Amino acid sequence: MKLKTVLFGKTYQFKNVNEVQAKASEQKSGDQLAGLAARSTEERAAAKIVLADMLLSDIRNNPAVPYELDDVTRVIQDQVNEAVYREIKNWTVGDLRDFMMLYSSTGPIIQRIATGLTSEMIAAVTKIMSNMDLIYVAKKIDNVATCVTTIGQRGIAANRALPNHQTDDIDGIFAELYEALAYGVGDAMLGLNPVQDTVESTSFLLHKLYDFRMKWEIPTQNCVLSHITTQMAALRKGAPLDMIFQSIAGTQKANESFGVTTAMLDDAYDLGKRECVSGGKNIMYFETGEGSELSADAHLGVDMLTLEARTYGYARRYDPFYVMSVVGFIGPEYIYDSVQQLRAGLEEHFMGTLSLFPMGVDVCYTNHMPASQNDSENLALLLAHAGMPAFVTAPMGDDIMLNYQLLGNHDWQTLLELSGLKRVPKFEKWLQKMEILDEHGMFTAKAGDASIFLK
Amino acid sequence: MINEATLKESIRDIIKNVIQEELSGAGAGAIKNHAQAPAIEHSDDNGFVDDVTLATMKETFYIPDPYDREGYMKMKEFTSGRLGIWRAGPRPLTKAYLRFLADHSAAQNAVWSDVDAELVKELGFIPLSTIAVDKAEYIKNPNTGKKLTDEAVETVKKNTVKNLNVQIVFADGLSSRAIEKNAADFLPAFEQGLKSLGLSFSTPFFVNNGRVAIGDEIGEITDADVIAVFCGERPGLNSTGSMGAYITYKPTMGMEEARRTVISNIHDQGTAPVEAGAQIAELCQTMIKHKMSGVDLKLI
Repeated sequence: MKLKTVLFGKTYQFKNVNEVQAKASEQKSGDQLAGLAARSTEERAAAKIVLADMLLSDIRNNPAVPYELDDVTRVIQDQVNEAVYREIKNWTVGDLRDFMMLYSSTGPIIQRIATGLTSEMIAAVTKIMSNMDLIYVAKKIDNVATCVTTIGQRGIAANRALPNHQTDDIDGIFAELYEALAYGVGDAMLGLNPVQDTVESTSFLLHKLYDFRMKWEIPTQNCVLSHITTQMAALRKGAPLDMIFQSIAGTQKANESFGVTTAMLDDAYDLGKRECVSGGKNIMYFETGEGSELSADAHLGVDMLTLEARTYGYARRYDPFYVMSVVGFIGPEYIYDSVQQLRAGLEEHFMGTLSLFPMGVDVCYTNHMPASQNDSENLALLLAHAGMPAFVTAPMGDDIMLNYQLLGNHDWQTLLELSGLKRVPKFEKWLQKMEILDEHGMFTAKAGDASIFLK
Repeated sequence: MINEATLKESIRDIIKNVIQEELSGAGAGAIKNHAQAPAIEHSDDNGFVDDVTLATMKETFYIPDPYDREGYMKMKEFTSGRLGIWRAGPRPLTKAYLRFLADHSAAQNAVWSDVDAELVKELGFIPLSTIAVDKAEYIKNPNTGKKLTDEAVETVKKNTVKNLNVQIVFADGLSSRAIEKNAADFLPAFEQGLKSLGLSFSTPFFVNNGRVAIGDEIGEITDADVIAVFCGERPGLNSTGSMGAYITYKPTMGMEEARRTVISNIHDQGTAPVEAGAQIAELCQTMIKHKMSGVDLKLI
């Protein structure tokens, strides 16, 4: 394995694969904070050049965290398709990139190759791809999953309604839900981040959401994003869950800081397959974010993008309905500004797509980030162009509980019109029945009036 | 501020007006701000464009011809979300968009500006600096907001009062506005509370570019029983001036976060600063009595 190169007469020597990976990463404040980032743009370029020349087997044999120490590594390594891996193990990372760009490398062909990749390989190839490369390859691939409804088909994009409320007030939550649906938002899920993490409260909210979905015959799925142990207890007590949520990260130590173990996730998955009322094939939902390992002091000297890829590799064990990264939510000490946010969003969508499940990005920023709604709109347009299957929006992008800004409900219809993407067909039909959309999928005069749900 | 009763009253008036308007044939389909509360003064021609920040989100309603106007306004009482703001084609109306921009600018300004130095002087605070060279470094590297400069360490030493019960520390945190809006109201109530409980305290420090954990270093230097840090919280669009209180018994640098007792959301729309002052003074007394804070104290 070669770990050094010369650039314009200067030698760049790296210690190991992890250092090459970290220094080949695009500039992000989190890697700088951890002391892992390249010290100059030349060093970054040198690291990319060394990384591109590495064999996939070099990366397989040097996982970011040792196999014996970390069960995220074990999950990723053990789920590799060995037959496919044997075909490609002598490819360089650069070969993998070029292969994916070929006209002959269709979506299904790339999906097959992806079964032979580890997450570290996916992170590596991402680091030698431009923004347009990431969009070009991601757009070839359709990862389809089914909970109550199906998402991820070609040309279809779904969106989550986010009815969060500072005190979980049920009237406030429903006001926000009505508003979302009145703008044609909600086919990915009606997904609430509760303030209270108790079994009683989670059960209550799940019953309310389920009754609402049944009363109005809405073809979508519900989720209350309390801790996985809370949801499991609610499920065991008979609460109507469509899917099970958890935040996850890219090392065992970081997952433990979330109060999560692989055994726990395995239990939840088994329980969900038996008890989730959706009856879906894909009943897990995960959220992730670059920087969560560093903020838990559990990054183990690995760069944020590699850890994020590992998080997706870990998620793949549970065939999730979809996974969503909250790109600008973790904070500017990890993703500093709109330049880093835009790059991270495209990288995350691409890496999740190569991890073979529907991948969404919550296009967002906090108020202590130098970023604005314009930056989010730019990224959203690019992600729609990349065929991203799952978005999330709130009224004017204002999450009044978590105090950050995401895309707005208005942006959803606008994005669909601009990109030519369509809602989940069953949901579109329902919106037409509700006279919110016309037969061409455009807003009717009633769209935007949430009081139609007060009937 | 408008209280709930006046708000309800004004909404009723609006609804009445709208019904009358529609009966007389006007209004239907027109895009009008029907919900502008009469309680707010809008002079007709004083040379000003109307102040868009006066109406709360609950009062703001732009839908020209809703299916159920009364029901909508009732629904909006339960959330401060941006509901009922209508659209032009698929896009937000100009006024909803501009209100968002105004709110975002205030939230960003709360983070990226310093607390007015005049105010710090007026309140008699002893100013301290952290090693953060500027706001950008402070935001990118939170650790720089947790360490005093050598000069500030000397200032703390010079102003240390021996055997003190409570050392008060204000820090801008992520909102300078939180300190500007709440410190003047909060401090007299807090000091009065401490006095009535017989607890000693000294002149507050004010830390520019300071995070919560700056109190730990100050605690190690002063050796006061309790360090009470009042820090600006990360602003949201609807609350840019919220202050958090982080109270710790004998804090040490690098200690677990679980040792802090936190009271968040101190501002005029949350826990009123005056109320919080009395409450936190009692909390200090409890900590001194049990010689502990944070999760441990909860378990008692």
